[in-house]
Parts: sequence; C-alpha cells; structure tokens
Amino acid sequence: MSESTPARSAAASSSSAASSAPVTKVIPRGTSTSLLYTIAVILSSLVFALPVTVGRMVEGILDSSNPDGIKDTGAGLAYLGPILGWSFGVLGVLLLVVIVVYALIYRRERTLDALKLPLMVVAIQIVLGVLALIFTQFTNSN
Amino acid sequence: MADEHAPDTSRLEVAAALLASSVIGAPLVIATAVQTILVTINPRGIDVSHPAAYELEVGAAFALAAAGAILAVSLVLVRLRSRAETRAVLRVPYLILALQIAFAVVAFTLFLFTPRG
Repeated sequence: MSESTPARSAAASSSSAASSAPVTKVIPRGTSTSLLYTIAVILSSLVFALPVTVGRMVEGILDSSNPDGIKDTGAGLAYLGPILGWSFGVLGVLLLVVIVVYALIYRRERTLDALKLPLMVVAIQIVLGVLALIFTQFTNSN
Repeated sequence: MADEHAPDTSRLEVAAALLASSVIGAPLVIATAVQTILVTINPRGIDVSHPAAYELEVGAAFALAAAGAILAVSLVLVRLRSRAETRAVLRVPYLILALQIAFAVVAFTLFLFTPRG
C-alpha cells in the first residue's frame, strides 16, 4: 500500500519524467488521511438527513409529552420554535465539524483535490436542503 | 504497489458517492415539489389547508423517486464493483447509503408514531 499523499504523488510525478502517464490524484487507502477523507465524505452526506431526523425526534418528543399543553399538536406551528432550533443547531454543529475535518485534510494535503468529493457531496446536500425549504415555503404560503 | 484507480473507476466512485448521498434528499425534494405544484393548481378543488391534502400523490411521488434513486445507485455500485480491482472503493458509497437509509427509516418511523391532535 502506497503511503504517498496526493500532494506528494503529484510532486513525485513532476520530478520524475514528463514522459510518464499523468497521475490520477486519489486518496490513498489505509492512511490517516484516508480515514479523515472517509469521515469528511460521510459527515458531508449527513448535512440534509441529520437535521431532518433530529427535527422529527424533537417533534416526536414534544408532541408526545406536550409540555405546554397545546390543544392541537398536529397543527404545523406547534412547537415550531424548539423543532427549528434543534434542527438548525445540529446543522450548525455538523457544519462546524465538517469544516474542521476539511481544514485538517487541507493542512495535510496542501491541495483542494483531496476535498473535491466531500465538497461536491456537501454542495449537493445544501442545494437539496435549500430547494426543500423553498418548496415547503411555497406550499405553506398557499 | 500502485494505489491509483483508472479515471473511469474514479468517476464511478464519485458518482456512487453523490448518488448515495442524495438517495433520500432528492426524492424528498421531488415530493415537496409535487406537493407545491398540486397545492398551487389544486386540480381536484379540495381544501388544501388540510395537512393531508394530496397526501397519496405526494407519497407516490416520493416512493417513485426513491425507487429510481435506489435503482440508479445500485446500477452504479454494480458497475463499480465489476470494474474496480478492490472492494475498498465500495466502502464509502455503502456507508453513505446505509446511513441515509437508517436516518430515513428513523425519521419516517417517528413521523408515523408521533401523536397528532
């Protein structure tokens, strides 16, 4: 198993010979960077799912226990504040962790190539989340 | 030992990860879009202020989109498995897929069992 990082392999390829085939920059398997890379991709993929699930959990707990004694907990606005607070709070914490992991990967690799897939995943998640919010807003306004 | 994948395999790896990560999000957005369209044009002329308005159509849209997304990611994973030299490349997409499905199941179960009214 090669221990070279993408940045190092790129440097090695440039120093060796221009005649050699272009090196595909990939994250090596079985290294600490590879583990960080896996964590970065996995955490990036949860940007949409985790806040939604946490929101459902908070809604389930509050609607079941009904601490404020609201008559119609099925109404859309029942406990909306705490539900949104927890969802966006978890999203904020998750994004902070994701940024820290990205920074660690960048510090080790010194290239954005290693972050290409995690960034693509997080971008898709954010686009999906924003689209869902926009459509929900349209539905609620009708 | 060379630790590089063919560019084609690498592209498949990216596609697998991206598809796996949107296997629940994309159908959810499609279902929400269908709900928005139906509530806006209201073809059956029903009371759209009720939360269950067009629930069946929205559920069907989500189910179809989810089935399509799972089919697409399965096809990419099968192709990736046949082309890749090692199964290690499948680890990340499988992990993402498992987590997405687990979160979706938890969210849906909570939605079903949350008392309303």
